[in-house]
Order: sequence, then structure tokens, then C-alpha cells
Amino acid sequence: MRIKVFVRILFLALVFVIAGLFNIQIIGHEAFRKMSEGNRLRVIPFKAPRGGIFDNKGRPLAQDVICFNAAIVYNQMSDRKLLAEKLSRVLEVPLETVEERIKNCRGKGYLTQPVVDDVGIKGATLIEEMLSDHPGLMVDVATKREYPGGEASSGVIGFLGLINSAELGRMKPYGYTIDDLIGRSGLEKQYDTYLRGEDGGKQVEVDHRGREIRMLGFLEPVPGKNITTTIDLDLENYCYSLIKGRKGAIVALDPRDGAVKAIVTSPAFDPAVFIDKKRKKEVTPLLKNDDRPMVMRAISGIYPPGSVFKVVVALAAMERGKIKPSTEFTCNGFLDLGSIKFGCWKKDGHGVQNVILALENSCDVFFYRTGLASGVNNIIEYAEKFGIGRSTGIDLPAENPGLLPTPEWKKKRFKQKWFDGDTVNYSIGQGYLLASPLQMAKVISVFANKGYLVNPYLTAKIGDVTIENPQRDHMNISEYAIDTIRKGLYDCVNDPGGTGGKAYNKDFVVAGKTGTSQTSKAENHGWFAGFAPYDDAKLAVVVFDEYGGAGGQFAAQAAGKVFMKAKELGLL
Amino acid sequence: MDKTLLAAVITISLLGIFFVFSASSQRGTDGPVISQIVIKQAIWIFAGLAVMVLIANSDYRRSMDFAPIFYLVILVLLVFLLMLGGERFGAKRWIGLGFFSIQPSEFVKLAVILVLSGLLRARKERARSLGNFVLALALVAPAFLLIFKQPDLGTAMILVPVVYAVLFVSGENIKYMMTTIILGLISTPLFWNLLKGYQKSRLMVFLNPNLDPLGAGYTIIQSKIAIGSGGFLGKGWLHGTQSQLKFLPERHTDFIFSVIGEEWGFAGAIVLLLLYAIVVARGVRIISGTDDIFGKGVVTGIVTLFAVQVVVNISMTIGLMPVVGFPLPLISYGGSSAIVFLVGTGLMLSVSRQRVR
Repeated sequence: MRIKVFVRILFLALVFVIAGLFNIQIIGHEAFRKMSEGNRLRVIPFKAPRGGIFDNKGRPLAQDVICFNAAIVYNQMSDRKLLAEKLSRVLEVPLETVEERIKNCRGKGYLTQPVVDDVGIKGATLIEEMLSDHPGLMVDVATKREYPGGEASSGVIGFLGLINSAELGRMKPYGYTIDDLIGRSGLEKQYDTYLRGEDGGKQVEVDHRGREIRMLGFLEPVPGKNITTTIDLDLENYCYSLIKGRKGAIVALDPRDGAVKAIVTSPAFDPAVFIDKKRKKEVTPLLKNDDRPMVMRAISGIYPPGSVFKVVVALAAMERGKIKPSTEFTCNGFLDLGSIKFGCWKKDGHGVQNVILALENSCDVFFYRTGLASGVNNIIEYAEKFGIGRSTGIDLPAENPGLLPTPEWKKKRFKQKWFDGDTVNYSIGQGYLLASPLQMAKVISVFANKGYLVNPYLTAKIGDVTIENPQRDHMNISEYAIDTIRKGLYDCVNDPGGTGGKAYNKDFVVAGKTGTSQTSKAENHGWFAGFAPYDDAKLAVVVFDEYGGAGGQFAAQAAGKVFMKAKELGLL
Repeated sequence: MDKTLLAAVITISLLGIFFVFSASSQRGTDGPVISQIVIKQAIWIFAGLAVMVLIANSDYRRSMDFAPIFYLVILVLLVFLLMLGGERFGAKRWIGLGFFSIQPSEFVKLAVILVLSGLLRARKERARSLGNFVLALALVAPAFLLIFKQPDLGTAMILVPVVYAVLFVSGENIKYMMTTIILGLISTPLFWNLLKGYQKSRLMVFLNPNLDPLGAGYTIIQSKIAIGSGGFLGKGWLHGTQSQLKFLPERHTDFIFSVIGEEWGFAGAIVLLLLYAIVVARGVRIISGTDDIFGKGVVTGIVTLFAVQVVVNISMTIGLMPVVGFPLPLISYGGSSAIVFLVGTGLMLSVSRQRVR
């Protein structure tokens, strides 16, 4: 019967359709459900403002502030060309830039997109006046990061950069997203997880053209935490003004607990360059600059400390009984080790010197003999005690621990034994020894606070929580040795013949030690490390003057000015 | 009269109004709004149901007398349309008549079924002869060619199974039928060059929708997402996100099944398929129950029309067949289609009432 064949064919067709439906509605359901959700749901993110960084009086060094952007909703615009021209004219920005950015919004449909950033309150007013003539145009309120600390604080604040894919992979579980800015150096990097808030957003249902139909959920963004530092903005700016134009660093800290009051590096950079789209061109020159403005010299730069190191050598020798305050050596301008002659910086010699005089005059020959009398291991032991060759642990990234050479180190490095000549160089802080300005600030603080090694820190508060300061360590060194060296540091600045005379102040007593370290170049590094007031020191200052000449010149003078400013600011 | 058939067709028609309503509603804050489209569809359906009942209660054999004239008028309209008709979506299909327009290519299906069945009945002594077979094909050829020229590939292609089913069931020679089908298949590649650009791209996209996900492939992808995301029970009437948020194009016409699949899920789709299966099964019963060649031919043609349109329409919405573009019987928005299927059902009911045995 033909009718049966006819029915069978129809039945097969029915089975075919049911199988097809079963395949996508039952087997493929989950995949299609996800695609359908992806079609209708959009999350519009609200960026959380980043926490600010403040000085110890609450003045901002870096903070997010409200800004106004000219923004568009691409699908609501009528005449793109006319609007671009008008924005360009009214806001005084290049036409091509505006056109380019409007073009880039094409795929964004009904999302608000900024096209001219940070137009200011005046620009915002001008745009408001244009709104009725230009559908799709609006003023978008956003935040931008401002750096009132500017170049002066660039080393300590650091800068922000767009997160890269490797970091994103690692940080995704902590809520980082593709267009996040992340701290690249300084406190911005150190406290990134505190500074960044938790982004919020709203989940909306959209139609096929991306128009918002209704809101399904809203998550309030949580602003990042503010960081309150120990920095004094006035002192910080003043320190930078002193060293600007030179290369070097200045560190000023409270020798009683290690709170850093000012820490500057030069040359420096403007952190705003890295987040301001208009200043993109300035980034590469900064990164490629031979003077290395991106290196925070105060903690990441390591240099031979020169004669400042003599305080360590003197202490080591006295503690081990190798010299007494009364021990005298005669300086004829050089030390003859047989094969080599080591000169004193004063060619015709200092004559008879004891430790106090030798510190005042920075006599090299006295310390050559002291070093040889102590032996290299004794010097190393005390240098270690002072924290040389080891990170200070300050709350900043990229700290360089420096180099504390030992005979074993030399053997490994150069396949040579340790000579007496190496010990002689060691005794005046030359040779292989390398230390950062912050490490030298720790060293000098021991004499300011009479026997304690401080651990420098920068952060006083995160949000409302006061941070417990790192404890200072008792050095267990004898009072008489400290007193003797303090006397030498006093004379160095206050005796008319002392090398640190330029740091002298008539209103309060400054003590300190100069250093002039030889480099491979013709110019020497200048150092000054000191503290004030002498009897009850409230501030220790280290000035490092890279290729700047003798420490008794610019470095001592600058340190003197820092103390004077500190007094003026009520810090002494 | 076959009450089961009547009930199934009325149920399908009412479901159609509900889903045209859903597909044309706007998800707004004030809730769904009754659109003009729903009102028009309801008018066509109720008018069509009235006509259906009238035909069911009259003698279907009287339509044998109208058939040649009806067929001629349709052919004239198709010629007229080719010369003057307004173009929509690359094809000339509609004749505007004030506030509504009619689609002669829908009516041509009915006309071909009637005129073909009439011919077979008139020459039933010479059934199985080659002359009879050639004459039958020559009779429907003008309609096929005119529609192909429109071009309305879907409707043209659907005439093939309908005509062959009528010939098959009424006992024509199978050898002739098979020969012409094989010849047709062999010459298919030649037809490729006759296709218009949009038809070629539709066929290419059927093979791989991701060729053009925002263009021709968009509809298939969105339709599959809609139906697949419906799952077993669906998202609920008026709650299909794909259709309510307008991701799905052509959702009240050719792709209305996507809305049903999304909102009522697999379960709803099966219920709808069962309703159509009832129509087909009752149709088959009527065919078996009559000795009248004309009645057999008419019912076979209409049952085939139902079955093929349902299967091909649903298959295209789930990506199993190319997008050919014809409506889901009695569900898709469109007056011409609704009238054709309701008149067809009226004829089936009339045959069922006047069975000889």
C-alpha cells in the first residue's frame, strides 16, 4: 500500500526533527544557556578610587581627585564630524585626537566612553552648554591620580603602570582586572594591595543593540586605603630643592626610632607622566636617560662610603681593644707597605693624631694603621653589626643591600687572596665596599642615639590603623667608645679645622662626618652623615653627592641647610 | 466530520496568536503591549476559521469546478507581480491591497493541489500512463517557474514533494517519478548559477554559520541559542530573553518556532509537534477512507504541505536545514499562509464528512 510508505516517510521526518531538538535543547542546553546569558547580561564596572599617600601632617603626596571628561555614547550621537570639530575648538585639543578617540568608541554601543580627558571645571561648563545641540554628548565624572609631591617625592611615591598579562595571570584571584593600574615602584608598589580598592559595578540587562533595559545588581566600589607616611612634605621638598640639578640623594630620619622624615633622589621624574595620556611621549626618554632618574639612589644606589665608614672602623678597633682614645699614630702623608705607598688625602701629613683628631681631620693614615691593627675580620664583624651589606628593611621595593666584601668573597670573585692593601682600603671605606645612603643613615644614627641600630620605616598609618614601628636593636657597645667617636664627630663640624665645618650652625650643635670617595672617574663622590642637636639628636641626615667632589663642600653645606630647615619646621 | 482534526487545528491557531503576541511584544516597564501585528493575526485566524467551517460543511467536490479558474487567476497574478511588484528582501512576493497585502505564492500551493487533483480525477481511466504523467507535470510547471523566478526558492521547492506525493498516493507510475527525481538531482548544480546572491549566501551559511556570524549566519546562531537555552521546560511565555530583547530577528514570522523553543522548551516543542502529528495522522485516515481520486489528491497535498513546512521550518531554526524562508503553518504571522492552511483544513474536513464508504 502506497499510503503506508507515505506515512513511514512522514514518521521518519518527525523523528528527525525531535532528535534535532533533543540535541540542542537537552544535550546542548548548558552551552546555549551560557551564550544566551552572555547576550543579555553586561557588567558596567565602577572603578574604586585608589587610596592617597599623605605626609605626617596629612598633606597629600599622591591622591585620586575628581576630574571631568568629555564623554560620548556612540549609538546616540547624531553628527560625529561636527561634534569632533566643536569639541576640538572649544576644549583646544587637536582635531585628529578627538576624531580618533570617537572612532575607537564604535564598538561600545551604549556605554559611556571618554573622548577628551580632564577638561577641568571650565571645560565641563562649556560642554554642559553644548549638550542640547549634541545628543550622545555628556560630562563624565571620573577620578584621576594627582601627585602634589611631584618630582621631589617621586622616589618614595613611585609610579603606576598598566598591569601586564603575566601580572594579571598571577593577580587575578585578588581582583585585578585588565585595565588596572598597578604600582610599579615606591610606595605605590609596596602598598598596592592596600591602596587599590575593590571595584564595584552594576549588572544590567541589555537588548540586541546594547541599550540598558534594567539593572539587575549593583555593587558599591570600596575605595582604597590611605597611607599616612612619616615624611614631612616641607622638609622633603626642601631637600629636593637642594639637590636638584645634581646627582645624589638626601636622607633625613629620626635617629631615635628610624622614622624617615625626608628621602629624596636626583635626578627625579614626574610620576604623572606615566598616567597622563597626553604625556606618553615623555616616558621613553625617562627610561632611557643615562642619569637614571628612575633609580631611587637613596636605597637602590650603592657607592663606596669613603671616610664616613671610619666611624665603624674606629668603633671596631676600640671595642676589641686594638686602640684606646689615647692611642696615637703619626701621619707623614703616607703609609708605606713596602710594595705600595698609600697616601693620606693631606699630602704633607697631619702629624700626631689620636682617634678624635683623626675623625675631625679625616686623617687616612691614622685609620690605615687602626685597620691593620684590628684586622679585616674585626672590621667586617662590626660593619655587619651596623647593617652594611644587608637591606635596611625599609618599606620600599627595590632596595639594594650593597656589598660587604670578605676575604672569602674576594677569593671566589677574583681568585685572589686578601692583601694588607685591601684592609688598608677597607679602613677608609674604599675598595670593594658599597653602601646605600640609607644604610649610612643607619650607621650615623647609632652615634646620635648612643648605641641603638634603628630600622628605618616610612609608614605611620594604613587607613585608620596605626602601624607598629619596627623596634630598634641595642648594639651592646661600650659607652666610652661611643662617647669618644661622638667627640670626634662634634669636632669635625664645630672645630675650626674640622672637615665638616660647612655644616656648622650657631643656634644648635651639629655633629657629623664627611666622606670623599674615589671613583673610577676623575670626580669623587661627596658624603656627609651627621645629626643634631648633639646632646639629644632628633634628626640624622645623610647627603650623598654623586661625582660632586669633596664631602666637606656641597654635602656638608647641604646637610647644614637641612638641619636649619628642620629647626625652622620644629623638627629639632 | 473529524472533530479531532478540527480541535487540533483550532488549538494550533490559538497557540499561534499567543506566540505572535510574545514575539511582537516589547519588554517595557509597563509590561507587554498588544501590537497591531497580533490584532491583524487574530483577525486573519478568526476569519480563516469561519471560512474553514463553511467549507467543511459544503461539498468539497464543487471546488473542482473553480480549480482551473482559481489556478489561472493565480498565474496571472504571479505574472503581474513579476512585472510590477514591490521588492522586499530581494524578492517580489507581495501585492498591496490597502491596509493588508497578499502573497500569491501562498495561494499557488492550494491552487496547484486542486488543479492537479482535478486533472487526475478527470483522467482516472488513463492513470499510470506516461501521457498522464507528462500532462500533470506540464500543468504545474508554469506555477513552479513563475515562483522560482520571483524568486521564492522555498515555495518553489515545496511544490515538488507536494506534487509528487499527490501523484504517488493517487497511483501514478513510480518509474516515471523516480526517473524525473534522479534527473532533477543530477541537474541541481546547474541551478546554482540561477540563484541570487542572498540565496547562495544562505546556503553557504547553512553549511557553516560562523562564516558570517553578524550577517547571514546571525539569524541561525541566535535561533539556536534561543531554542537551546530554552532547555526542557523553557523560560516561560513572554520571558524568552533572546526574543524579548530582540536578539532574534524575524521572530514573529519565519523564526517564530525559536520563540516557542525558548519560552516553552523541549516539552512545549513536543506538544506542538504532536498537534501537527494529529493533523497529519487524521489526514492519512481521511485519505484511506475515501475512494474519490479528487478527495484523496486534495487531502494528500494538504497533509504533505503541513508536514513538509513544519519539518523544514523547525529544521532550519535549529540549523539542520538551510534558511529557505517559509512560515510555520498557522503559527507564523501572515494572513495568506493562515488562510491557505485553514481553507485546506476545511477541505480535509469536508472530505472526512463525505467519505464514500
